[in-house]
Parts: sequence; C-alpha cells; structure tokens
Amino acid sequence: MPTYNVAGVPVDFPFEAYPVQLVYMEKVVIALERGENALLESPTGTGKTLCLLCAALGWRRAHIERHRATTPVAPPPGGLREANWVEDLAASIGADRSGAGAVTASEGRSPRIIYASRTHSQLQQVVRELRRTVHRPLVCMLGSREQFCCHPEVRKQAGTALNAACQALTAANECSFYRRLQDEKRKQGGSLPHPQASEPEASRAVPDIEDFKSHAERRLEICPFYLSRELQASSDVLFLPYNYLLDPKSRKALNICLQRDVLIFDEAHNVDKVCADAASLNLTTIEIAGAVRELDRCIDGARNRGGGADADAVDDDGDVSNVSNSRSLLGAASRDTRGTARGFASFLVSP
Amino acid sequence: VISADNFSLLVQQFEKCVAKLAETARFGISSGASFNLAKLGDALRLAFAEDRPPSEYRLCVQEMPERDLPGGGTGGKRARATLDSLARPRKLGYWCFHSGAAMGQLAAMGVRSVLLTSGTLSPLSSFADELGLPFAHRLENPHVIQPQTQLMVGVFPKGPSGSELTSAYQQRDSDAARLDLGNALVNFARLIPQGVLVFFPSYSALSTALAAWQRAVDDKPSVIDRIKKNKTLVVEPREASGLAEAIDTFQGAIKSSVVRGTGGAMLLAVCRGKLSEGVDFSDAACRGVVITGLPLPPIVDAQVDLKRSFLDQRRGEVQRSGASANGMLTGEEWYQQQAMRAVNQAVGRVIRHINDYGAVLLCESRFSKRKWSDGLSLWLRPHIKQFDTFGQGYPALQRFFRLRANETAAVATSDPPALDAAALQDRDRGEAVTGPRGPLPPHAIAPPPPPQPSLLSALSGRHSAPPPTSDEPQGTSVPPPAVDRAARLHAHFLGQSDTSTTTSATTATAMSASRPRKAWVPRDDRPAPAPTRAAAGISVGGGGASSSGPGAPSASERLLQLAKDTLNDDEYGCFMSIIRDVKTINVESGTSTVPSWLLERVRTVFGHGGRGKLLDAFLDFPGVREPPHLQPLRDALRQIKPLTWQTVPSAPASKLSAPTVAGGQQHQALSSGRVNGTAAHAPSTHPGPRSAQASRGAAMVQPGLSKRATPLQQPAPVSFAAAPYGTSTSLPPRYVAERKRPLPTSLAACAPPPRAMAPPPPPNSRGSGLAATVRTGEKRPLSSLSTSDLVGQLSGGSAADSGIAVRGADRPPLDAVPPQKSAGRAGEVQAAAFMQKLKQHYTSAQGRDETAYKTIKDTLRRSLQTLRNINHEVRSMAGGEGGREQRERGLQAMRDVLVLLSTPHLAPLAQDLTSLLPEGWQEDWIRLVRGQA
Repeated sequence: MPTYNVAGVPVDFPFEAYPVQLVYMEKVVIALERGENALLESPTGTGKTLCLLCAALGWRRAHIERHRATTPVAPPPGGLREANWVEDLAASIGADRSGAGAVTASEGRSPRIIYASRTHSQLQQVVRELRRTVHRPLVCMLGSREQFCCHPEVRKQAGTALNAACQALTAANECSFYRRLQDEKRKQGGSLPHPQASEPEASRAVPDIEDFKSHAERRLEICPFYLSRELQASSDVLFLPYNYLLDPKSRKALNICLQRDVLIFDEAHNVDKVCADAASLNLTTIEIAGAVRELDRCIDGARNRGGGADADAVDDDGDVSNVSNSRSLLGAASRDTRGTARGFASFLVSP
Repeated sequence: VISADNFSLLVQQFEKCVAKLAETARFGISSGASFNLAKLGDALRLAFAEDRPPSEYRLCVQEMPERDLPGGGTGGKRARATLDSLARPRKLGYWCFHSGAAMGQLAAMGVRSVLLTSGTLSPLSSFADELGLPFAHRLENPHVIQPQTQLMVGVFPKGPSGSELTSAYQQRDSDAARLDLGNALVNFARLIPQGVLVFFPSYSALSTALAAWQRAVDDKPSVIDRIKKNKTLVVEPREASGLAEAIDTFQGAIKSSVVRGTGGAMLLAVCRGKLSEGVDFSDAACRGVVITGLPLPPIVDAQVDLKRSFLDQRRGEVQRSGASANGMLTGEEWYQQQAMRAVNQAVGRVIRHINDYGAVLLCESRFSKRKWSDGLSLWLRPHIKQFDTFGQGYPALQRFFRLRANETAAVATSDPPALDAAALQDRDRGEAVTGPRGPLPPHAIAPPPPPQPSLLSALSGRHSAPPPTSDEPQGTSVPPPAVDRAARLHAHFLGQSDTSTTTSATTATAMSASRPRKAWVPRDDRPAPAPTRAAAGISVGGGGASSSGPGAPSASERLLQLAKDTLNDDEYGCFMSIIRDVKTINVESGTSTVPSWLLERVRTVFGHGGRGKLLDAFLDFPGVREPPHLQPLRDALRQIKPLTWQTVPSAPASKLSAPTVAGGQQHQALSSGRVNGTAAHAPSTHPGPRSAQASRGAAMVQPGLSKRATPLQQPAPVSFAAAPYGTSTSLPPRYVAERKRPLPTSLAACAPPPRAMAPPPPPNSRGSGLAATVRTGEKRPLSSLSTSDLVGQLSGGSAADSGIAVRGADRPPLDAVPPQKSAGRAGEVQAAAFMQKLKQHYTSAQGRDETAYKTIKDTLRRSLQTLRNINHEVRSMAGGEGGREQRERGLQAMRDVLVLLSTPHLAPLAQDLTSLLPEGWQEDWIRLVRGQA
C-alpha cells in the first residue's frame, strides 16, 4: 500500500493513486491543515470517497501525532505546519478559557471526522471503502429509531408514531434495551467507552450499520439507537445522513458537539435543498384540524379520568385548563384559516 | 392570537399531549394517530425561531391539489368531516430560501473545516453563494478515464427524420417530434450494446411519450415494439414499491446480455427520479445515457416561482445598496442550473470507474447552444460533439462501440446495423430508419465493417461510396487501420488492452470537415480535412472537402503539413480538435476569455520545444490571426514562446523549463517501455508498484532516468549497452519485428546508446548530456534537439512498417550521429523525463497546483543556471580552482532545490536529478540528499 506525501502529510492509499486523486487529496489535506472549507467536485468513478477517507484520516493521524509530539518545545518543520500548530495551540488555549461548556474540547479531544452522506445506503458504500484503507478508527453510525429499534412492540410502528412510542417508553424507563444502556452507563461512571476502544487498532473490524445494530442488540442487549448517540462523542469517525446535521431540530436532538471537528458532506449536490427544506414548513388545514382533535382527545381523556391518579398525565400540575387554553387559542387560529387561511398565515409571521 | 410570547407555552402543552397520546397509542386505545400536534408544534417553533429572519422566507397558501388529499382511511375521512365548511383544504407553505442559514449554524459550532464533495457541484461559484460559507479551496476534477476512447458525448438536435428534438414548451406537444425521439431511441437501442438509460425531464413527459410510442403508425410496428426487438424495455415506476422489481428486470436482462450476448435492456427513467442517483449502473448496465430534454423545474410550481423571485429580489437589494452582486445567482440562472444539475447527475451514471466506457447522447437541440452546453460537467465539456443531423452522429456512435467491441474481442464481429440512408431522405416518416435489416441498398453509406477510412469517407462525403481501397493488402474487413496498430502497440506498453488512441484524431478531422463554418473563416483558408496519417494511402478528399490544388499551398495547408510533420498521433488529434474548437468559440458571446480547457490543450500541443515553426504557422493561420475575439488566445500562444525559447545557448538543460505534455507523456512512457525492455536486466530503483503505475500509463513514467540514479553506486552505465535491440523477451513479437528496421536517428538518442556507436561517457560525467555540453560549450539549434522531436520520432518509427510516412526519414543514418550529440540527446531525454515526472506530481489535466509546480520549476532553472555560471566562472579563473565562496553559492542553489524536493514522494526525483546537474556538483548533491535523509 503506497504512502503519499500529500502537502506534507503522509497519506496511505490502497493502491497507486491517479493524478486526479492526488490533486483531490491534496486539496483535502490543505483545507484541513488550514482549517478552511472546501468545495470539491470530482466525477463519479474517480474514487472520491476513498480519497476523502484516506486524506482525512491520514491528516487526522498526522495531526494527532503532531499534537502528541509537540509539547511546546520543538515546532515541527515546514511553514504551513508551524503556522497551523500555533493556531491549534491558540485554539486549545481558547477552548480552555471558554470554561466548563467545552469540557471535551479542553481535554484535547482529537478532531473527529464527521462523514455525512445523503442516505444510509450511500453511507454503507462509504464503510465499504473505509475497509479498504489501512485505517481502523473507532466508528459510530447514527440512524433513526426506525432503523435501530429492537423493542418488539415499538418496532412494528413507523414514523412519528414509532418515535413517540419510543419516547414514551423510555421516559417511563420501560424499554429493557434502554434500561440496560442506563445501567451500563452507571456502571462505567457516566459515559460509555467505545466497545472497540480496548481492541488494538490493527485487529479492529469496521462495522456497518447492520453489524452495529446486531452487535448492540444481540451481544450487548443495549438499545442501538441510544447507544449510537452515546458513542458519537467517543468515536473517531461518525457516519450519519446529512439531514441529521442540517435539520436544526434533529441536530438539537443529537446534542452533538462539533467543536474542532471536520465535517464532510458527500453527495453534497443536494445539500442546499436539504438545508432549505429543513428550515421550511408545510402545514395543511387538515393537519391543523387534526391537531385540534388531538387536543380535544387529551382534554377528554383527562376529564374522564377526572383528576384521579392520572391527573398529571396531561400536565404536571394537573391543570387541564392550560390545555384548554391552548385548544381555544388554536381553535381561534384555525377558525381563521377556514376563512381565508391568511389569518393563520399572518399569525405565523407576525413577530 | 398566538404570538412570540405565548407560543413556547403552547408548544410545551403540545408536547405533553403528544406524549400522552403516544402512551395511549401504546395501549392500543387509538392506533394510527398521525400526531398532527407534534407537527404543529414543530411548525410553531420554526415560525418563531429567533435566528431565522422572516426575510429569508416566503409565505404561500395554496389549495391542495386533489391527489394530495388523504384518500380513504378513517383518519382522512374524519379530517374532512371536521373541515366540512371548507370547500377545499388548503396548504400553508412557509418556505426558507436561504440555504446558508443552516450551514452558517453548523460553522458557528466551531467546526474546523466543512468539506462538500460530489460528482456534480458545478457551477461551484453559485453553489458556494447558495450555502453562504467561505470556500477557500475549490476543485473541479477531470475524469480518470481516457476520454478519447472511453467516452463519447454527442448532441443530437434532430431526430432521424429531421424533427427538432427538444423538451421546450412549444415543441413538446408535437407528435412528429415525439415520434422522432422514439426513432432515435430505436436506433440507439440497436447500436448501443447492453444497457441504455434514457432520462426524461419529468414523469409526465415520460408517460406522454410512452403513450405515443405504443401506438402503431401506418401499420408499422410501434416505437415500443421496435425497441423491444433489441432491448428489454423497463420503465421507472411512479410508485417506489415497484422500483425493486423494475431494477431486477433490468439487471437480469443486462446479465443475460453479458453472459449470452442478448441485446440488453433500455430503462426509461426520470431526471431527479428514483433512479437518477444512488443506484449503481456500472459497466454493462449502462453503456449509454440518453437525455431527452432539459429537466427544468415546473415553472408553475409555487415554490420554484417564489425561489426565483426571492433570488432576484435579494440580488436587487444588494445592487441597490451599491455592493457588487457578482457571483449572486439570478432567479433565471438558478432555474437553469437546477436543470443542468439534474442532467449532470443523470449523465454521471455512465462512467463509474476507470475502465468503464459509454456514450452520452443529448437529444435536445438546446445543447447546441453554449448557454446550455456550458452547464455540463467539466469532464464532459471538452468532448462534446455536435451532430447537426442524426446521420452524422449515427456512424460516429457505431464506430465508438465497434472500437470498444474490437478491444474486448469477446464479441463476434457481427455487423451492427448500418443506418439506412434512404430513410434519412424520407423525412416525413421516420420508420424506415428502423426498418428490417435486409441487404442494404447500393447507395447506403457506411459499408458494414467500417474501418477508419470508410468512416472518414462516410463523414466527409456521404453521397459517394468510398473508393475501393485496393492498396490495402488484406482487404477492408480484416486489418485494423495502420495507426490503430501503432496505437495498440502503444497501448500494449501501457498495459491496456488494445486501446486505440486514434479515435480522437480521426473523428476530430471528420468533425472539422462536417462542421458548419463560421463566417469569419475565409473559405479558402479553412483547414482542408486533409488526410490524417490514419488515412494515408487512401484517397480521401471526396465530397469536395479537400481544396488542395496544384498551386502554392495555402496557409492552412502549410499549417496542416507542418502539424503532421511535427506532431505525433495523439498530439495531432489534439491539434485538430483545437482548430475545431477555435472555430466554434462563440463570437457572439462577446466574452474576452478563452476557455481554460482550450488553453490547456493549446499548451499541450505547442508547449514543447521545437514547436516554434508550428506555433508561428498556427498564429498565422487566418482562423486564428483574424478574429478579434481570439486576442486572448493569441496572447496565450505568444506567452508560450518565451517560456520555450528562454534558453541559455550552451545549456540544453534550459529545456527543463519547457512544459511537458500529456500527449508526449504517453510516448515518453512508450520510450521508457523500450528502454526497460532493451535493458531489462538493468537495475531498477523502483520495482513493484511504481512500474505497475507506469504500465497503467496514468502517471509517473519511469524512463531510463530511474536507472540513472543507480550509477551513483555503479561507476558507469554499462548495462545500457549490453542488450542489443530486438533481443528482449519482454517485447511483443510485432514490436520486435519492427525494431529490425533501420532506426531513425533520434531513437538511438532516446534509447540508451549501443556500445558500438556511443562509447560510455567518461566516468566523471556519468553519461550526463548536460555535463557533456557544458564542457564543450557546444551550441546547437534547439529545434534539432527538441525532446518532442525525439518522442515524435519514436511514433514515426513504429508506424514505419504500416505504410505511413516516416517522419524524419531524411535524417542521417545512425552511424553518422556524432557520439557527443547522441549523449547530449540522452541527457535531454533525461531532463525532459525528469520534468515530466515532476510535472505529473503537481499537475493533471485540470485540477492542479500550478503555483507549486511553477515554483519548483523556476527554482530548478535558476539553480541549474547558477551552477553553470559558477562552472564558467571557475573555468575562467586561473588554475580552474573555485573558491569557497563559489562552492557555497552552488551549495545554496542546490539546497534551494532540495528543500522543494524534500518530501518523501519526490525523493526518487532528487536522486534522478543527480545526473542532470552540471559537472562537478553531483557529489555535493548526493551528500546533500543523504544529509537530508
């Protein structure tokens, strides 16, 4: 397996690289070295993914080694690297100063490679490419509940219903897979180490999403969905569909810290659209009516149980009136929509 | 009223209710809840989000189209019941049109770098503008394939019956055009082996076309039936559920086409549809992509319309504020780019890896305009061929696949159907084109197995049957054309299976003949499609295309003759395509820029030393000299000159500054192959992967230079002289046979000198041509020394027994070459090979680090010059003893170079450089290099 010196960084490539691939990797490495953004087009079939992985992981390896080596005595040779080293140092000092919020950053977490592609099947391809490289990083993949859920009842559901069911179960701590995760976490003192962290790098396998799921489900009997969210912080490479990052809501749900990480968007030609879509909303009058009905059902349910043991089911303080208020507010709004729909529209945009 | 103050409370309530409902759902009380509340909560949160200014949004309320209404299902019915007073449900859209916001949030989280990559990002500037991030690094890579042989891109503005092919609104509903598109597909289905993907702009375009094609016209079988004669027809289903089955059917047909040689399959799909990305159609699954129109987003779509006006408005605001709106998309640009991205995405299906090949057929007349064809991906753009009539494209396509079929040699040589010329005349009914495959009428063009000549004649003069090619010994059907043979030989050395590299040369010529001429090209001076070497010995020039009269040769003829004499086959092909492209540079566009890929190619051809005459002739060529808009091109051409001619008379090493060339590289690779072959037992410093690379021909040529590095340890390059020509076992038989012919002079210079003719140089000069010339101070005209000449000679030599004019045959016989000169040439070849390696490291056709390469090149040139100057100084000093000061200066000059070569990847080059250094400095250099290590 040849090793190339790409902009001062040794990069292992599984075979002789074509010139276009070297050019591509050079761009990647330089961008990462300088901490700048890059827009890279390379036709399908030119081995983009492999180049990206090799260059990014090669850079990461060099970056970590440099950090390890440079307790600030001997700056490494080369102007570019030197400048960058200083920058890094400044960044880590800055991170230290910023205090408690950035605990992970201050403990010198090495930059993760966050590899986002459009779909899981595309990510599957990326994992296959990763297996061809020399690198065996700690990998984590993020998927949806729909992909990961092992609960025998919940997994039968789909979409929002599944999500809601899972949330309800886990909130009540009634899912055994989720419970085991919590137990395990407690045992390990708050955070789970990556299952492969103890293995020597050479003997590590690179799991794909199926491997990961079955390992978590069968061997560990831990919920793969929540496990993946635990492990994302302690892994070297994170694979995920890019709407997880681009949709502010899912990003928030992930509670992910991207400080000093490298973000890669593969198949990025859709990114602009996904960005815009994630920030847009479509709402039909049918859905609003449905929402009103759902509120009604909640109110009815609460009233029927009449402040008994289930009083707090609707509201913590058993206050049904809050919900009723919401209902009337919404009712008023949706009455507007029956007229012109502009009423509803105006309430959305008015500050 | 819900407001910013109370919405969060409301959302909280919603969430609690959602949780509650979920719990009840779990107990089976109510299944199938659709969680409208959750969605409403999200909507409210988004609407009131503080970091999303309403200026980035547009609001739109529409009546819901019938098909979006919830059909059946209890939930749907109840929902409608609730909305009984409503005539029709409405949909509220609150759309964000500023993608940058999400990206900005990500960047604000302290991310180190954001890298975006894809096969289809271009135009990069507008993409960057959309995302609103600063992108310091941008790259548009070319493809790894050899575009000449593995890719064909053709624009078909007209169908077989002459109807305009376009999805433009005015034309869309014409039955004739639709039928003609069908006829085109029938032809493609016959010509293209294995899998073909046909992309329609939209589902509705697909279904209307299908409906039209199912009808039989005038008792002739329908388009569908005729396609099915050759291919299994698969249509992309509207519903995702049928997709897997469709793909299975398609792949099954492909498999059987590979295994059993059946016709393959044609898949009708939709741009931006389920099959336009993500599914891998490599190799046999996709030998052709047909684009049947521009997939412009539906203009009636409110979201599209609002996006356009949003962009225009934003641009207007920026302009009004006095800032520059450069790089900001207009609505119309965005609209067009949407279509082009979808096209590029679809076209990207065709080539999936380095050995893949296929054709891209753009059946849309608007691709004849630069406005649209410029939107195609960079790797396609230089290879686009315009076929003004369907009849022009047909043989080209036929030939493309025939060449490939010959190469794979697996397919029996069954004649692909020839286009029925009668059908072309029959403009009203396209069906004849696809008529039964009986014996061809006598006036049919393109006789069944068209080797090179018949293609040429078919294209240059379709009316006359090609003259019998009696001077071809084995008849027309059997032998591959002469140049093919040379090319195949060449390919053999590159480890490829019989690649023919001549396609571009011939098609380029053919194209230049068939293209309509621009007004500014004086008729007399147009480059006659003079026979290329490929067609030598065959009377071409039919169809009144050749203007070669008895009188004085015109400027264009001189140019062509010169080009033929100077350039090798690849370069000649490149040269012809330059002429073609120069002609088509859009006069009307008024832009003062010459496309960079054209400049690239110009440099490729003219960037050598020894091309001065050709360059002058080219500049003098009326098509280049006259048009005012070609001024940038002329400037660029003149800039090539100083670089090449910037010489220090006594030092051939200044050749180092001559840019080396893609076309030449392959021949350099060829020559290295020979050197390796003849001196097979010479120690090679780089076995293993390196040599594999050389054999792939893609990079890192390993000429004799690599062996030059070893003499550092061995006193003299004895091994070079040891093996006489023709004895090597590693050479293919055909090649060995050719070797027995008298060698052109420079071949000897290129290959290591046999012992008898060139005695090993004195040990201290280590066979370095540079050292030799410096010592004698010999001054020779550079043109006689040019590396490219040497390289060109090689190809001339191999073509010798093919009846092709051997360039340089008038050179003195081998014995006459003074040893000194021979050594000098070897040095030059070394120098050129060295520079090629260096350049290859830094450059490829498009993506490159020009500045780094320039730096190292300049430094090298400067340093070598310094060393030579010092040598001169020292020599002129009494006793010839240099002082410490001189030595220090020399060392410094070498250090400058070494710094740039210090990366491990370039380390072998540092060794190679040793023999190129002037006399007396090698030892110091080795010491420096070792010290570095």
